[in-house]
Amino acid sequence: MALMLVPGIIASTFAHLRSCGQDRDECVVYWTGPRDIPGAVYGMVQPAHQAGPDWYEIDSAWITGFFLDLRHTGRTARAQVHTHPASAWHSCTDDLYSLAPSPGFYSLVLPRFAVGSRELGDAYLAEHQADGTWLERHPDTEIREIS
Amino acid sequence: MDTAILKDTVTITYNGSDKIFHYGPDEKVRSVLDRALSEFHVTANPHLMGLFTEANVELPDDSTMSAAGVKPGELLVLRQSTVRGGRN
Repeated sequence: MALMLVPGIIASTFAHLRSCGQDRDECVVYWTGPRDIPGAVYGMVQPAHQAGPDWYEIDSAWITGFFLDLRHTGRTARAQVHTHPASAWHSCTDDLYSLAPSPGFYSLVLPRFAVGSRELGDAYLAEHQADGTWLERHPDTEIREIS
Repeated sequence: MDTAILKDTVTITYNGSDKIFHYGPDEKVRSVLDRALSEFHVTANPHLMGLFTEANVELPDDSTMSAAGVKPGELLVLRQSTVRGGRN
């Protein structure tokens, strides 16, 4: 199921990751959408987190509060988007400690602290599979901004 | 006379979705957690997942539901114990 983003999500994602990471630290956001519209992404959420040049970790209380907020508002998290300092790929840490390790959840990694082009050509996208593994996907075909 | 064992229920929420689970007070938290993982199709690294209260207290896996302080009708959150990432 491809992700269908409302206009502006990609631009605001890059803007936040750049602003927060300051070309120095990794950063992460989550894309959310209505639970009953498959693939829809209507918003971006910035978690409370700590980070360094090659890591990030989400505040524990924030995760619980986020899941409670999702159920109250009929939304779900469809993807996590985070930066790496150099090239984009999925590390062992990325594999093991995602927000929602269940089928259909996406993980998008942006290279060079998201400081380069706002295109997704250098990005790495993976989708969580039913057997617990991550399968690489092509960002250009799986992520679309709707007009 | 029926001798059916009375069971209580909890609601477990995961990434925006809710499911209701029956449990016995002497049932281990791990057992309820394993059933929740199955229902929500979380197949990867189950040892990294936990059940949390709304106050963000993680239930100890080896406790019984009653010893962990779970009350019938309570809302629990299924989530990774730790969420992190990065090149490291």
